[in-house]
Amino acid sequence: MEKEEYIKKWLEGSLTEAEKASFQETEEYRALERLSRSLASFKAPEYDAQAEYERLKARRSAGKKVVPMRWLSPVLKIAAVLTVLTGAYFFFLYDALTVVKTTASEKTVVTLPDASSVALNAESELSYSEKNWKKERRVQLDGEGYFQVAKGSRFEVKTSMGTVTVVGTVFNVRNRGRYFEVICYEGAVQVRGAGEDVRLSPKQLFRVIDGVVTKGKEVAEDQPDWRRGESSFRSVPFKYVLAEFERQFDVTVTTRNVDTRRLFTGSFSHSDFSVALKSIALPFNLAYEVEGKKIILSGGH
Amino acid sequence: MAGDLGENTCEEKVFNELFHTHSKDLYQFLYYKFGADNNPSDLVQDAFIKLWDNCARVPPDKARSFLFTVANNQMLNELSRKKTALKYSLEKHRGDTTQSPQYLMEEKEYMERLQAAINSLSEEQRAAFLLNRIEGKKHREIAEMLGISQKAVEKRIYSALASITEKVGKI
Repeated sequence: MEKEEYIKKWLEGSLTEAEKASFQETEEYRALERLSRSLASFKAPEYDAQAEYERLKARRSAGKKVVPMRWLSPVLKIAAVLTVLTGAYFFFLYDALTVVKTTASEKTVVTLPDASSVALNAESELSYSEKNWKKERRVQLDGEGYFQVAKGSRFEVKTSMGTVTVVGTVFNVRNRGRYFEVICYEGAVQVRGAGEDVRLSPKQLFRVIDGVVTKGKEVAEDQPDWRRGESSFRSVPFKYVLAEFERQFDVTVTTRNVDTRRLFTGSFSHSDFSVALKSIALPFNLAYEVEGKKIILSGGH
Repeated sequence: MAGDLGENTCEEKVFNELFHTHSKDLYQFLYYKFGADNNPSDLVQDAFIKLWDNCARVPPDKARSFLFTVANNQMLNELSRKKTALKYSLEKHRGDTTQSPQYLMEEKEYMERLQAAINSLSEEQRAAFLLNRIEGKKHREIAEMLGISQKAVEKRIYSALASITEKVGKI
C-alpha cells in the first residue's frame, strides 16, 4: 500500500489492525501522532452557550420587537430619526443661536451679552450663542457690521471669507459675496482669510475683492462711512458699489453696456435717493432710468 | 427538535433551542477559519441577531445554513478583518516538569513551526482540517458547514495535512 493511502486511511481512522501494525513502524506514523497530540493545544476556547445566550438576549432586548407589529418598524425608524434630528436642530442650532437680521435699507445695533455692541448695516445677519458666550465670544457675520468690543477674552468674528480675532477694540467687517474687508479703528485686530494672517493697527485695512488682497493700507476716517449715513468706496469694482446701493435703497439695479468690473472711487449718501443715484451714475457718465424700485443704468453713449 | 412543522423561529423557545444547537458549532467554525482575533463569539451574536431580525422568513430547519452563510459573509465583508492567528496553549499538556531543557526547547520550536504552518493554510483548508482533527467533526458535518461536498472536504483535509507536515518537518 502506498504511503499516501496509509495517511488517508489514518485520517479517516479506517486502518485495519494489520495495516495499523505495519504503519506504526514508519517515521510518518510517529510524525502524525506527534502532530495529533500537538494540535490539541490549538483547540478553540470553551464556548459557554448559556452565557452567550444571555448576552444575546440582552442585546436583542435593546431593539426588542413584537412580531405582529413588524410593519411598524420602518415607520418607527423614520420617526426616530426625525425625532433625533429635530431634537438636535432645536438643541444645537435653534435654541442655542441668537440671530439678528437686517433687511434692505435697514440698520440696527445689537448689544451682545458682555455689552460689546455691533452695528449692522443693511441686509446683514449676525448670529451668536448666548449659552456659550461665557465660554467663547464668537459671532457669525454675513454682511457688514461695525464692532465695538468690550475688553475681555478673545472675541471672534467668523465670516464665509475669513475670521477676525480681537481682544477688545473697534473695527468694521464687511463680508459681501466675494468682497471681504476689515478696517480696524481702535486697538488691534487679527484677520485670517484668503490664505493670509494679518495683524491690523488702527486705521489699517485688510481687503479681499475677487481674490485680490490689499493689506495694511491706511484709511482716513475714524469710523465707517455707513455709520455716518453714506457709503464710500476707494478702488472698488463697480458691481459691489451697485450691490451696496441696492441694499441701502431696497431697489434693484440693472446695467446695460456697463463694465461692472471698473474700479469706482467715490461715495453716495443714504439720505437722498436722487442725489445718491447721481453720485454713482455721473462718475462713469452713465444714463439712468427709474421705474418704481427698478433702476436701469446704461453706458456707451 | 427545532424544525418541526408549524414551529416558528420567532418563538422564543424555538430560537433558544436553535441557539443551543448551533451556536457552538458556528463558533468553532469561525474560530478555526478566521482566528481568535476576529472575535468569533461576537460574530456568532451578530449572526443570531440577523436570524432574529429575519425570523419570519427563515424556518428553523433552514436556520443552520442561514447562520453559517451570514456569519461567513459578514467576516468576508469585514474590512478591518485581521490576519488569522491561531494561538496554542501549553497548559493542558505540560504534565510533569522533569523534561530536559533540550526537550522543552525543541518542543517550543516545534509548536512555533506548527503554529506558523496552521496560520499559513487557506481559510477553507484550516477550517476543515481543524474541525476534523481537533473537534472530531465528521466529513459530512464539515461539508454542511462549509457548503461544499464531502469529497472536497476530504481533499482539503488531506492537502492541509500535507502542507503542515511539509512545513513542520518529519518530527
